[in-house]
Amino acid sequence: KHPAQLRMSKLPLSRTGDLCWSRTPKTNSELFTLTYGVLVTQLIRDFEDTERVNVELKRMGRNIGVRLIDEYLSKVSLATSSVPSCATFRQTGESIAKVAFKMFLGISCDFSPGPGSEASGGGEEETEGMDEVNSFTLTLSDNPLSTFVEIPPSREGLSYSNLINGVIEGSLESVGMRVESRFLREIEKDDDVTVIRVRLRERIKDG
Amino acid sequence: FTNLDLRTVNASERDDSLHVASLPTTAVSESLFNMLLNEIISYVRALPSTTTSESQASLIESIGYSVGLRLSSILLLSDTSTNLTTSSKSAKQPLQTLPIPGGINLDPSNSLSVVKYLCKDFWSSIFGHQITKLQTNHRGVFVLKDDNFPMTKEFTVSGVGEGGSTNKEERTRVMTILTLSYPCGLIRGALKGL
Repeated sequence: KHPAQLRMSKLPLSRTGDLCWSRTPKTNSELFTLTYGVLVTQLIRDFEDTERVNVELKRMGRNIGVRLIDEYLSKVSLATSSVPSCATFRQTGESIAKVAFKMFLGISCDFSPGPGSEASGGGEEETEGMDEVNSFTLTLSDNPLSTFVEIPPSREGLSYSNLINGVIEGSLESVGMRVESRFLREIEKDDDVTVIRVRLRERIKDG
Repeated sequence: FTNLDLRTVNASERDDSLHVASLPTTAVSESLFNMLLNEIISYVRALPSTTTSESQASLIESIGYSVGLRLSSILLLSDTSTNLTTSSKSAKQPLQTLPIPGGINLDPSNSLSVVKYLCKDFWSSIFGHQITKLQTNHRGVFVLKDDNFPMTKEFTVSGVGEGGSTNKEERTRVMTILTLSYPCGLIRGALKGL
């Protein structure tokens, strides 16, 4: 390959996301949504305690995340002919929002640096100028895992889509970042959007 | 077993129905689904209540069944271009362009048309392609063959463990059976939903 082609990709992230998505073999999303739904139902049946279901969903998500990151890295390299690399946590978050969500779930979400506000869940902090943030929020207007799902009041502690948080934690840990990912708002609980907050706890040093 | 023709009869009249073979408008990555399925299988295998392969396969199958049941009703309701006929040999079925809620011209007593629906429309809506080959012994047994089945396409079993190649073969066989229990349940549920 021409040496110039091995530079960092200059494509905007959303184009990279679209490109990777177009190359991904796809399957029916209803199959996926229903399968996930039956899994959550099964877990509720097996564990009864809602918090333990959340923990189990996150654990399964982490297992998936560890494998997903390999596919992400190789597909993005192939698509952009360059090594995917994020110098800052902010870039990591943007890549997740525009590339990863797109190529695996077919949706892209809004990225906001900063921790967001607990009350409104939005990225209201003015951190435009900051490159080095240690948290960000992802806002999804639509969640394929939980189409048509509503949580009954008896189960309001359930983070239905907690698998996603696990995937984020597992995949980032594989590339050297220990993060905590959780929902600030959830569509399944009558919020109008789902907001995920990811906070960097520590970078894992090679050694 | 004899081979059955899955091609559309009177293709010129029924070209619209071939659009069902294209992918649905909402989709997710196939590999993500496979990973989810694998996690489910691992979870089932680790359950204290399912210690034998049979009980594990049975649980996986029933999970597939729940999904298949709901999936077939969703697909029937949303399908606007399917034009199934009561008899595949009938030459003069009018092309229906209006959606009829739940009103596919599917004759449940004609098991052949049901199986063909499964192989063409159902399979295409889920996996994006039709069953490669359909065979029957004309006594109620059908063999569905898919050359490009997404759930087992990229199947590997980790090679760790003693016992050499026979052990690995055995574990591959067990994992394959567990994985395939899922689509078996899917089919059983889909048929029940019809």
